[in-house]
Amino acid sequence: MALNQLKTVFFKEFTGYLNNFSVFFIWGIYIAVSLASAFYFGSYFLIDNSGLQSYFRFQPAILALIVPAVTMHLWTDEFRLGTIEFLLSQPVDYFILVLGKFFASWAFCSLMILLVLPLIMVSSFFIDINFLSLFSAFLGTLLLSGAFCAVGCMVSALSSRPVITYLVAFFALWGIISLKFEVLMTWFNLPETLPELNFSALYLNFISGRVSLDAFICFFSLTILALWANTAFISGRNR
Amino acid sequence: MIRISGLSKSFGEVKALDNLSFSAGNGEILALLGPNGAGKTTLIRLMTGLLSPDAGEIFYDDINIMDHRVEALRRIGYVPENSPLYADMTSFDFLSYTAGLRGIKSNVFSRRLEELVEHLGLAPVVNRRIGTLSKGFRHRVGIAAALIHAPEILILDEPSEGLDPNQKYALQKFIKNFSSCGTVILSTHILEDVEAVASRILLLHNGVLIKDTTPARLKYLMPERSLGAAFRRITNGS
Repeated sequence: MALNQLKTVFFKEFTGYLNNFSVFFIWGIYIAVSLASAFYFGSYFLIDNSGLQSYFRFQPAILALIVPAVTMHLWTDEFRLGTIEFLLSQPVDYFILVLGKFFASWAFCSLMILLVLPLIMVSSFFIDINFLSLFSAFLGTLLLSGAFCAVGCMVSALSSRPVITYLVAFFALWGIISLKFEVLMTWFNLPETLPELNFSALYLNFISGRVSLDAFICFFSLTILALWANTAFISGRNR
Repeated sequence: MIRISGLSKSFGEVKALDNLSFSAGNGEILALLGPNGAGKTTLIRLMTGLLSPDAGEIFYDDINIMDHRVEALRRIGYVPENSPLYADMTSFDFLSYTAGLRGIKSNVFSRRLEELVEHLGLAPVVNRRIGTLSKGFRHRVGIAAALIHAPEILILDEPSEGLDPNQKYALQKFIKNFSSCGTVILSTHILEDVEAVASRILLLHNGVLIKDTTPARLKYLMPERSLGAAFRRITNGS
């Protein structure tokens, strides 16, 4: 039953994305900014690009800019249109609603990330592509976008104004990628042997072809924490 | 069977509901009557799990909505005020979405959809986008969504707000039909609706239940034999 409800929410949100013309605009901006960064700032033709590092290096910043635009309507529209009353009076666990919306936005972002495939095909004519590195970079980008979608989804439950949720989510994501946990470790006197907890550094590991358990744990923890907070915000509306 | 006991809810300093208790059984049409700000919508939001009470309990049969929200909501069909729906969905897609959320199997959904389209006269709009529908049709789509799972209890918040006299009449007829197999709770301040359909009136004022009676008895409180006069007398003393 819960799985069917999850599928129902997922398909409603996902088809909602695809039926909305503005999503193609978002995809267009994403691909344009990604390609511009790769070729202009990433020295695409000058460095060893076997894993398309020039392309993936800038993804955390680009996703921090784009993901809030994808997630900003998830809950805000429900509040703005009053459909939240319909939705929350259905016999569905709050967490299922949150998960359905989150998976829809993540699936949408995953499709967006796959827009790089034509670039890979073109690049493979003149670059010796390392497919293992490429796979690792894709995996890292998908995990990062998942964590970002969870944060964006959570922020969208805080306001009924899409512009506000966009800005808050953007700054939150920017903070996450800029945050140096080493500073916190020094403050709290944590042992230096603890794994490096810097989202950007962990992501760079992925695009260098190093898939580590630390990175998985870090990205999943952020995702789960944001989803839990989102559920708490939605159920907290009842107080 | 609905049983509410000692229900209270405050918003800051404002006491929206104060120690409210009542019960309702099958076949009853209960009208929550009261002036604006009496606590009708708060009561409905508490009954549909959209708000949590500060004190008191709400039971559907033996299920407490605070402890088993999902299980309790399976028994309820709820039509919020102004039926807020997804404007970009067609009526069919919206009803199908509601059925999915309620875990209704596709064959059961097809059968229920056929029944509801016929009873509520939705045939001309079933494949039209909700955003293009008139208020009356949008309202009927909202009612169809609330009834898709054949609930035992139907809760309507200001159901005839903005409807024309024909649509009001159709809605009243529908409510009476539904009550033969379930309980209806409608919140309203339109006395004409109350007179036409209600079998019982709960009169709320400043969050307090001040009368639990029938329309006929309420009328006989005043020499004019009018619900309006009784309502005015009780709620503002004039």
